[in-house]
Amino acid sequence: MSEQRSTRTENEAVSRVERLLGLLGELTQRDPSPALRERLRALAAQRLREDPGCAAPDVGKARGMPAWFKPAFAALLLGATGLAGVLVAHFRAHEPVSGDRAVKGIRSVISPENKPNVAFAPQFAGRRPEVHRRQPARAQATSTGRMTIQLPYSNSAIETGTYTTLRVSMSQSDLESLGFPINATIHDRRIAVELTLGDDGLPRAISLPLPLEVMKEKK
Amino acid sequence: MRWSWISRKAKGSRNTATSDDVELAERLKQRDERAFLRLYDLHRSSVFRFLMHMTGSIAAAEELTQEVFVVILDAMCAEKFGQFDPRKGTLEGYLLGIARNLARAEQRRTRRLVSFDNVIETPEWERLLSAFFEERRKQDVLALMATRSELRVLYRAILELPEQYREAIVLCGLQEKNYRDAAIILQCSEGTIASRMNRAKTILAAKLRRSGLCAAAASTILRGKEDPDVRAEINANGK
Repeated sequence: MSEQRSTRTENEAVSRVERLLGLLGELTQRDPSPALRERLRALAAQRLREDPGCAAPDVGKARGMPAWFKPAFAALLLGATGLAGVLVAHFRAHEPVSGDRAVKGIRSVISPENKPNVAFAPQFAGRRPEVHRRQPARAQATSTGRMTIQLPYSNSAIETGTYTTLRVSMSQSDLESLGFPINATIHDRRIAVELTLGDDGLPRAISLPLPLEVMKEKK
Repeated sequence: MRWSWISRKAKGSRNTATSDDVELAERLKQRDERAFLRLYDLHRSSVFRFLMHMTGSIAAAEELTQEVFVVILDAMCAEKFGQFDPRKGTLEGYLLGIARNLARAEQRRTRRLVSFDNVIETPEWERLLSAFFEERRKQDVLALMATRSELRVLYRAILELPEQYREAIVLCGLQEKNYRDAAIILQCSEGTIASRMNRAKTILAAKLRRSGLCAAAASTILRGKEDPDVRAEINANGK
C-alpha cells in the first residue's frame, strides 16, 4: 500500500517537474542583445567583403606587401632586440663601477640610526664609463654628517642584494691608513664606525658617523 | 519510472536539414554575408538560450554565442563549411553542437562554479515572473507563491545537475527539442537521451519535493489547517 503511494507521489512529482520545465522554458525565452548582431555583422563585412583572402582581420592589411613580410620582420626585430639586450648585459657585467657611485649607493641604504639593519641593495643605475680607475679611496663627507669610504678589496661588481651594517670600533691609525682624514695623535683611543657587509660576507664600505664617537681602547 | 520518449518521438521529428537549411548552407559555402546574418537571425535565440542554461550566466552566454558564430565565419573564410552535412542534421543542431563544445571548453578553462544568480536574479527575470503571475492573479495567491518559489528552486537544481543530464534537460525540457534532435546534437542514441531525461527529472523531482515540503508546511500554517498528505510526507521524511 505504502509502495503504491510512494510510486504515485513520485509520478506526481515528475509530472510537476515537467509542467514547471515547460513554464520555465516559456519564461526564459530571451534573445542576445542587438549589439551582438551588429558586432557580428561588422566582423562578417570585414572578413568576407574587404579581404578576399579571408586572413585574420588584423593581419596582412597592407596591400602590395607579401603575407610573410610582417611576421618575418617582427621575428627579425625581436631577434635583434634580444641580441642587443644580451650584449648590453654582457658588457655591463664586465664594466667596472666607479667607486664614488658605489659609495653613494651604499650610503643611501645606511639608516640614520646607529643600529645594525638589513636593506635592499641600491640599483647602480646610469653607470658611466670610468676614465680613472682605482684611484686611492678618499672619504666623502655627506650631508647626513658621516664619512664613507669604499674598501679597496671589495668587489663592487658583485651585487649581492642585501647589506648588513655592523657597528664596530677601529683604531685611528687604521682609519687613517684607509684614507680617512684623521690625525692619529691619540693612539689609545678608538673610534666607532659602521662597517657595511654584503651578504657574501665581504666588507663593502666603512662609514664614519659625525661627530666622531671616541672610546678608550680596552687593554 | 516514466518513459515519455515514445510520445515525444512522434512529435514533429526533424533529424535532417530542410530545403531551407540546404540552401542556406550552400550560400554559406559561397561566403555570402547575408546568408551568415540570416543564419544568425534564425538560430540566435536557440544558441543563446542553450548557452545561458548551460553556463548560468547571461554575459557568458552572449560571449559564447558570439564565439559560435565566429567559428562559422572562420569556417566560411577557410572554406571548410563543407564539413556540415545536411543529411546528418540541421543547421541548428550543427550550431548547438558547436555551442556545446564551447560551453564545455569554457567550463574546463575557468573551472568556475555555475553562477545561477546571474540568470534568475536579473530584473528581466523578475519582470517575466511578474507578468506571468499578473495574468493569473485571480488564482490562489498561495499556489502562485509556491509556483514562484518552485521555479526558482527548479532552476537552481537544473544548474546543479551533472553536465550530461543538464544538457538533456536544457535541450528537451526547456528548449523543447525532440529526443532525436537532441541525440544528434549530443552525439548519442535516443535511448540515452531518454534515460538521461528520466534520471534528470527524478533528481529534480526529489529536490523539488524536499524544498516543497517547507512551502507546503508554510501554506498549511497560513491556511490554518493541516493537509494530511503533507503531514504524512513530513513524517515519512523525518523518519
